[in-house]
Amino acid sequence: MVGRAPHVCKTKMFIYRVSDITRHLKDLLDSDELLQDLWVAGEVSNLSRAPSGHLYFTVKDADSQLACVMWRSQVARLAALPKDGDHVILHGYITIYENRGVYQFYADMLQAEGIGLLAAQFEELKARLAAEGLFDAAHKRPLPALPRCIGIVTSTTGAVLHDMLNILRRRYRLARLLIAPSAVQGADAPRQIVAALSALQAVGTVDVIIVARGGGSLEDLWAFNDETVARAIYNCTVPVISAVGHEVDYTIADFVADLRAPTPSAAAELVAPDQGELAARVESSRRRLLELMRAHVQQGRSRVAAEQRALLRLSPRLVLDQQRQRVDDLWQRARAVIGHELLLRREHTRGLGIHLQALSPLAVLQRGFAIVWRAGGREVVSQVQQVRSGDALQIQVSNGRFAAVVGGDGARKRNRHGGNSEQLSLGLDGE
Amino acid sequence: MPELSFEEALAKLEETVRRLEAGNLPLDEAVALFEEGTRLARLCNERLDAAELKVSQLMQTPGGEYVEHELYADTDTGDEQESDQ
Repeated sequence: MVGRAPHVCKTKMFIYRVSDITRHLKDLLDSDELLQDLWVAGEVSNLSRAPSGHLYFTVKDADSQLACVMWRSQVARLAALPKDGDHVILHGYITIYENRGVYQFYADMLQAEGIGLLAAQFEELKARLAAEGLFDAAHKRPLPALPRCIGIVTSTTGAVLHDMLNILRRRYRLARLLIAPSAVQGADAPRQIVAALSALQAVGTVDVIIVARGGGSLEDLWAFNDETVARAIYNCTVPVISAVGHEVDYTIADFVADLRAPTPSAAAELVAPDQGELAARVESSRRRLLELMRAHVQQGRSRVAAEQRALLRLSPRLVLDQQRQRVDDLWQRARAVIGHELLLRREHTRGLGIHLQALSPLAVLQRGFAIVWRAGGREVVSQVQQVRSGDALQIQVSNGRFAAVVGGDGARKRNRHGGNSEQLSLGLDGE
Repeated sequence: MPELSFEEALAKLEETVRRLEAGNLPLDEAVALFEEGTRLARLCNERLDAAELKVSQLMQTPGGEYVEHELYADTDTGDEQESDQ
C-alpha cells in the first residue's frame, strides 16, 4: 500500500504520521525474540552519566555502533563503572526510543569482556534469580535429621556415585538410597537433571535429594548454571543438596539449593549423621534414664523418711515418753530440794550433838572426875549426909564403874575437906 | 509397637527421657517410662546394628514410567564405569 505510486491511485493514498511509523517499528522490534534477549560485545565510547544516574554510551566495533542506555538501578549493581575504550559484554534488549525515533540497546548487565561470555551469562542469571528471591535464606529448608530415603541425581558412570555410596555405607546405613541417573554434562543434561528431580519427587518417599557431579571445567559444569535446573531445584518439594565440582566451584544450583556441599563426598557426609554418633545418643539417653530413675527412687525414699519422722513426732508413745520424762524431772527436782533440806538438818543436828557432848558429864569424867552412886545405881551421892560408914557405893569413872565401901563416919567428917578417909579420898584422888 | 524404625524409636526414647526429666510423676508411671525407655534404647541399638544400606536405581520403561531396580552390594553401583571421570 505504501509502496504504490501516489499519482496512480490518489484517492487511496495513506499518509502516516511520524509517531505512527515509529510505533510500527517499535512493535516490530519488540516482537523479535532475538532483540529482546540479547548478548552484545563491543567497545565502549561516548560514555556519559546523567545527573539522574542513568548511563548513556555507545558500543562499537570496527564497522558499526550501537547506542546504549543503562538505567540507574542496573548501574548500581555494577562492580565498577565502564569507561571509554573498555571492551565489554552487554546483556539487554533493543527497542525504539519514540521521542527521538532512534533505536537503542537497553543494557541490564555489563561485564568486562575478558571474563568470557559464560561468566557473563552466569552473572546475569545469578543477579536475576537473586532479584527474584530464589536464593533467599528464608526459602532454605532444613535437612531431615535422619533421612529414610535419600535421592541422588547424578551420573552412574564415574567415581562420584561410588564414593558417595561408600561413605554412606560406612557412616549411615539406616536409609534407602534411590539413584536417579542423569547426564551431568552436555546439551541434554539440564533436561535430564530436571526429569530426574521430578521422578524422585514422584516416588513420594524420598525426603532429601543430592544433586551431584564431580569436578570439571566451567563448561563441564554448565548444566548446573541452567535456569531450568535452578528453578527445578527451587521448586523441589523436598530439600536439595547441591554437590557440584570441587570446593572452589560455585554454580547457580549451589545458590538455589537448600544446602551447598563443597564436593559430592561432603554431601554424603552432610546428608546424615554418623551412626556412631547416633549410638552415642542412644547410650546417653539410656544413662540419663537410669540416672533419672535412681533420682526418682531416691526422692521417694527421702519423702517416705520425712513422713516417717513427722509421724513419729505425732505418736502417742512420744507423748507418753514426754510425760514420763516430765515426771522424772519433777522427781529429780523434788529430790534435790529434799536432799538439801536434809543436809541442812543433818548439819544442824550434828552441831547440836557436838554442843551436847560438850555439856555431857561423861566429858567431865574424861578429865578425872567421878560420879558416886549408892549401890544399885539409882542415886547419885552429892552430899556427905547421904552416906554412912559401911555403905556400898558404885564409882563411875570415864571408862567404867567399880564398887567401893564408905569407911569411918561419913557424916562426921562431912565438913572437913582434905580429911584422911582413905576410901573417900580414893574417889577424890587426883583432884 | 513392634515395627518401629530407628528414627521413631530414637524420637520416642528422647521423648521418654524428657517426660521423666519433667518430673512430678507418680512412681508407677516413672517406672513404666523407665522400662519403656530401656526397651527403646535396646531397640535403637538393634536397629543400628542390623542396618544395611539399601540401594535402588530408578529406571525408565519404554512407556516413560519410572520403576525402582534394587542394586546389590558395591559391585552393582557401576562396575563398568569406575574407570572414567
